[in-house]
Amino acid sequence: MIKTGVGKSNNPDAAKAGAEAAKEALTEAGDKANLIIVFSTIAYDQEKMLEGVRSVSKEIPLAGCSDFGEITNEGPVSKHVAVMALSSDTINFTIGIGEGTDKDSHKAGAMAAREVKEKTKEETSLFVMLLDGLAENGAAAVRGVQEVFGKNFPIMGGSAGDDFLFQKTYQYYNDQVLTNAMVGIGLSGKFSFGVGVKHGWEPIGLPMKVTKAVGGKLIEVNNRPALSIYEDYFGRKAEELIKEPIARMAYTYPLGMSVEGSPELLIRDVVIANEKGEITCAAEIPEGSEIRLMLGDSDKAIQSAKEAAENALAQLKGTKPKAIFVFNCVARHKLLGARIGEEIMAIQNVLGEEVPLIGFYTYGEQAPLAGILGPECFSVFHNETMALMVLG
Amino acid sequence: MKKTSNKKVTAKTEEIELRRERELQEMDRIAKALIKRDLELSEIREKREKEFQELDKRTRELEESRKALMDMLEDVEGSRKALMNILEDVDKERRRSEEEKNKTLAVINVIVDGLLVFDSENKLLLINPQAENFFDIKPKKIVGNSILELTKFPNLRVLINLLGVEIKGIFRKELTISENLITEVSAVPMMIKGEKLGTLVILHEITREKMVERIKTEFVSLAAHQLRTPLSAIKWTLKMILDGDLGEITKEQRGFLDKTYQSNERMISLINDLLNITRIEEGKYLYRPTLADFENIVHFVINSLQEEIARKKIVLDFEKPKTKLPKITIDTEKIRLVVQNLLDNAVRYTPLHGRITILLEIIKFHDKEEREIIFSIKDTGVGIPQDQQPRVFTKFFRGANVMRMDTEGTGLGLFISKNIVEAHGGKIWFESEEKKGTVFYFSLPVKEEFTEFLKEF
Repeated sequence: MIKTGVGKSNNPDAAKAGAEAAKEALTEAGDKANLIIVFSTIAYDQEKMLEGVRSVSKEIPLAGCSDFGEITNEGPVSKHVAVMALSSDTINFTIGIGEGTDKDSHKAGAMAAREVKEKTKEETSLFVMLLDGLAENGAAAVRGVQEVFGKNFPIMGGSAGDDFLFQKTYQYYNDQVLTNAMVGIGLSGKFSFGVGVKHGWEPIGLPMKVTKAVGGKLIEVNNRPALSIYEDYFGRKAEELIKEPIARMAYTYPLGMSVEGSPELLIRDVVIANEKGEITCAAEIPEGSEIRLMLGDSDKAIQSAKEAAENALAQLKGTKPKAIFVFNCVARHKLLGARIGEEIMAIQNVLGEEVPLIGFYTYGEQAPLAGILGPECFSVFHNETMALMVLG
Repeated sequence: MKKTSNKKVTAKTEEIELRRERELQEMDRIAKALIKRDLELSEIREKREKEFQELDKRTRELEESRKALMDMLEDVEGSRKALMNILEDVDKERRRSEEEKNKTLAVINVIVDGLLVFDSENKLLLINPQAENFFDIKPKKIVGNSILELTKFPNLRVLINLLGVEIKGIFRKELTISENLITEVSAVPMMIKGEKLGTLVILHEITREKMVERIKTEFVSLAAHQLRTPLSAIKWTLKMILDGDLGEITKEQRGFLDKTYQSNERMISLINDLLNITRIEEGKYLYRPTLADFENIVHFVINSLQEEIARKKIVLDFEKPKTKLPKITIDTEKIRLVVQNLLDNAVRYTPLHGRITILLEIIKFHDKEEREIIFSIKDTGVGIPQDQQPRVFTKFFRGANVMRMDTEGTGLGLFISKNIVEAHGGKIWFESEEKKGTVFYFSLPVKEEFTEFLKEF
């Protein structure tokens, strides 16, 4: 049995906002929970907000992160704090923490996963990660988790945001507010779950070859400085593109690379470019990859969210959805603009409007490639993607 | 041939690939152009969205201010209603006070005294019919005028002269409005919680009383004059007999005649007092002011009574300041009468071996500019009974205790003295305890300049 409640608040007082959201969530969940999930704007003093939540939730294990916008049953909002309280006698939640994502994301990912694995008595069936959005290589963090749980282990999650500032993101672990960290949640016990992973972005123009890359840093493409891609496509000077995070301009024009096992190209966000013409991406693009510029379309984006939800529902095999987690890319927020609500509605139309829903706008998503579970499951780091998870 | 054909095929393939390549390049170029367009569009869209958000925000703000305005209007409406209620109450109050005012006016109109009401700025607010009659003036003409403006009306001048432009508080001052109309005027400040709201001027007609008094005074004056002439004849006749001008008389005869002479003297003295009083009352008690040495007057009176003082073995002290007192402008004759009356009384009512102390002082009071000479006379006499003290200065007053022991005295001396002292701008008062003694005081303002003195009269 799973009982969940979701609450949100934008009270100007950080502590009160945290307390209000937590109270609402807990009340809905029946005044008890085994896990508290918190997503919050960085506009709040993070410590005070978390103290507010904890003043209500007390010692219940807590995991969460900062974001670019919060999603609940009522749709997307910004500058809020959203809290979900999960109460279940069949699912065990175990939380772990990994630090140093700015130095070694792989290590941090493995550290969090190991802690979860060690603390869980039964076998873990699903791992949810909340990663610092400015980790040096998000993909490596995912591999770190796979190192502990196995290559085909289902991993879901999102990268923390900071209201599009790209300066500092926060992760919440019980009563601690951390940076450059990864919080992991292991789910074990008897429960069903389904996932959906889709973006709907389309490639445009000729394929390009990555001729030089180190980790998340893209150095040369077609033997030219990586930034020349955007100079060509945008018709803008390099100086203009490095003045502020290139993400601001290029978030809706990411790069896509073809990967085995996925009909869709795997997307990589470009985050920051430097005067050398190098681009730092949200995760690695291996040398030799064939990449293409991707173009978003609102209708296709909404359609893909619906398809992701349908995929997840199918994987529940008839079990009724009890809780929905949405890790939705900030780029989709930018692309859809005023239509962001439609995307969430599309999901709810499939999974049920009344099913408690929590999520946030991320700086990166972690999910199985193409939303495939089972022996073929292979979790990777995504960008620009609607990654959702349903517990049943 | 085959070779050639192969070559051809190769050439053809190369050509197709070249074209394909060119087409792809073209497509890429178009893609880039499209992206450029798309970027621009999305930037414009983002800007528009921001503007929309701003618009939305502004709309919300406007909506909020509209709501606030509506709330305010509601408040205003509430206040208006509250105000209306208050106004209704005020109206009720107004009507009630109107009634009260009418009642008051009715009382004021029927009252037999003349009434004038001035506001705090000395503007005439109200005049009742009686006062209108007194001054033979129409209220329409004068109500609302300031006291200064009222001087334009000749009929009112006598009153305004008495009241002064500032309307000083006065109590029962006589005002002769015309030959047949005499009033007693009082001006009373109307105070509420220490704030002066205005002045009420009351004119009480005393024409009849004055007439009766005048007739009485005239009668007394006439009678006194008529009585004094024969008394003088008796005095001189007796004097001649006692001096032996009409021949020797026996010792026994002399005894009787002496007593007769003394009685006659007393009668003359009484008649003189009565005449003095009638003069005071007729206003004929005129002063003949001269610059005089008050000390000398006191000495003179003491000397004239030396014999009697010695006879009663009374110790008399006369204390005066070391520096000589300044000369003052007084009516010497009348002031001597005052000193005489006071010393007479002291000697008369002080038993044998008693003590009388006369003290002269010069004092400057804080609240007064001029200095004053204070004369006091203290005796160890019978004193004035407490219950009779308020009547000491009234006409024909005699203490009950002294009437038993001494049949002499007319009861007019202190009345005359008071009139004299007050006519000089001074004051007279006393302290007394029965069986222990009495102290009488009177003050005279030091007016060295004759002109200063004249100002007062």
